[in-house]
Amino acid sequence: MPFSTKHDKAAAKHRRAFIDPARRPWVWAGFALLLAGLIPVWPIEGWWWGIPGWAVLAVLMSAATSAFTIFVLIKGWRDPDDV
Amino acid sequence: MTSNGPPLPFGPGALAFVGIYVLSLLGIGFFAYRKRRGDSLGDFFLAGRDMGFAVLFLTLFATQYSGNTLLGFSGAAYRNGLGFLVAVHFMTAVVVGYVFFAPRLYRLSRRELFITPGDFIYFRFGSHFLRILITLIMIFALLNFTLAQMKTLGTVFETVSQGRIPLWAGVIGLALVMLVYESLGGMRSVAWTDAIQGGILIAGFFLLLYVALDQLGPLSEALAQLAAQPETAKKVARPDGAGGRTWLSFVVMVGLGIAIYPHSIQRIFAARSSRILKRSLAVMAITPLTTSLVAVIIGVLMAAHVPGLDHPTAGGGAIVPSETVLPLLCLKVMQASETGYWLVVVIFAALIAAVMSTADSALLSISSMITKDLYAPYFRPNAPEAHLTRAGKGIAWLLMVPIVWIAIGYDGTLIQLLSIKLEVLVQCAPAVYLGVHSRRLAAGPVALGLVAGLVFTLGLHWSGDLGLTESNTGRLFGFHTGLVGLGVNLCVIAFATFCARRNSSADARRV
Repeated sequence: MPFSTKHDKAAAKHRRAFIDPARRPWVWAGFALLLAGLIPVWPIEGWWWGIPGWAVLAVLMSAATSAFTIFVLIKGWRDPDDV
Repeated sequence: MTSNGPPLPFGPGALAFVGIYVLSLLGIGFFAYRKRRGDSLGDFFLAGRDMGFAVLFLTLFATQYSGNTLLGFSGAAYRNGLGFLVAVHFMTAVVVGYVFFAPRLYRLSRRELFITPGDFIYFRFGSHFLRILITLIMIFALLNFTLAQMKTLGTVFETVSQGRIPLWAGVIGLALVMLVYESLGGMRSVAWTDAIQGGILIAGFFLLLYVALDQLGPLSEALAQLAAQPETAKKVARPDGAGGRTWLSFVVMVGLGIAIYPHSIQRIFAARSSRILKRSLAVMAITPLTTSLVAVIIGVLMAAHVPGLDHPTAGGGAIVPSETVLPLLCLKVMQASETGYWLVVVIFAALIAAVMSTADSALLSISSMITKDLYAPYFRPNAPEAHLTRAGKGIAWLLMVPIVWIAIGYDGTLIQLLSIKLEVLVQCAPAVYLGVHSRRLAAGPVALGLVAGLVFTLGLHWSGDLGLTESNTGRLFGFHTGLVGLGVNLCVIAFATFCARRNSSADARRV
């Protein structure tokens, strides 16, 4: 197999220390919720601060997605090779 | 612009500013040449895998945001109004896409010393067919991209010089500048020029927002004006059911597709450490709010203040009238004051920066893929790296000839190009996203799925021309044909994997 063939204990421990955000269920759940919020299908009526409410929500959801992505990258991804 | 939009009154001072900026790129190329550490492929195509935070972030930024973001996105927002806020979402989705494959791919690339995405594909699946097919698809997508950038570059230069530098001369001249600095320093040149271009681009977006609001007034007034007119009210209305599906389709397809552009993947390989990579990607997650959102605001403001540019037939020519909203805004600002004039000069420098930084990265990536994935394994398997590096430089020069020739004669809208190439490229997504995580996924099912997805996507896209439907199918129930094709692609992979496992268990029982 193309993946690592090292079997010594140190290498195995090193591999376990690597945490991939794509293997964390809370990351998937967070992005699924945000994706549902991003699509402008919610019945938002009226204007907020002179802008249609649905558009304000779309931008706010985008900001929330950016914030969550940053959190996932910084806290949800651990690499033992980090220097 | 000059031939398709407003003539902008750039004087000799502005031309000198732009000229010095372009020539300074050659100086950076020479500096990068002196900093090279040998003639290896890793040094030339990945800057020695030693990119620090500032350069990595700025090169990712400058590469991801092209001339299309400034001209195409503002034009699309002019035509679609707030409906084009989807651009903010899909550019955010690109960074989300990285989250799902970059951490593992980066680790593998450090261990296996990948140069191109094709290296990963061959390492992971061991299939020549899959490597060649995916490399060809990626080259197609990038050629398409480079063509659009070169066309924009010539048009912008023609505008800046008020026609004194014709489009063909602008395209050829800037192509030569790019080729020289790229041949001198490879990725190091490209990344360092990208860093400067990215800095100018960030400043350009902030300036654009300032001049747009200063010149045209608050966004709320423009929106109220659009809502009051029956013919423009749809530009502030919430998308309907089909619009919502198209929105979702845009977010998923562009998010998955742009993240696997080969020049983006190669920047992942080039990061000095995973810490630098994660920090660069984290900052990238904010950029849609400072770039795509600015382009949407400009498009909406211009739709309210300069109506009548919606229809492609209104002006004719190579670029649709709505894609000239940015030059139109610049004309207003230039005529208003001396400060406005110089602001527009910087904005145009940013536009040239956006286009050049994307085109040079794409060109370097294409030459690396032809060299490493096609020429080296199948024509010169035992060639030393120094020879392959020289071959890569030669390939870039050879490629530029047809690209420039087609760019000078090309006719079409920028946003249409973006759509077509992504529909094809996104078919490679399973090989990258699933390939990096699943050990059990085999080459056969992935290749079958890829071919099925491509046939389905292109078949739908040209269904009218093939006589299958009355007209070509761009979307199915609001979803892009590329995304429908990706669904078929995934179903075929799942079915073929299931069949392969069942057969192997039956064989095992017989043994």
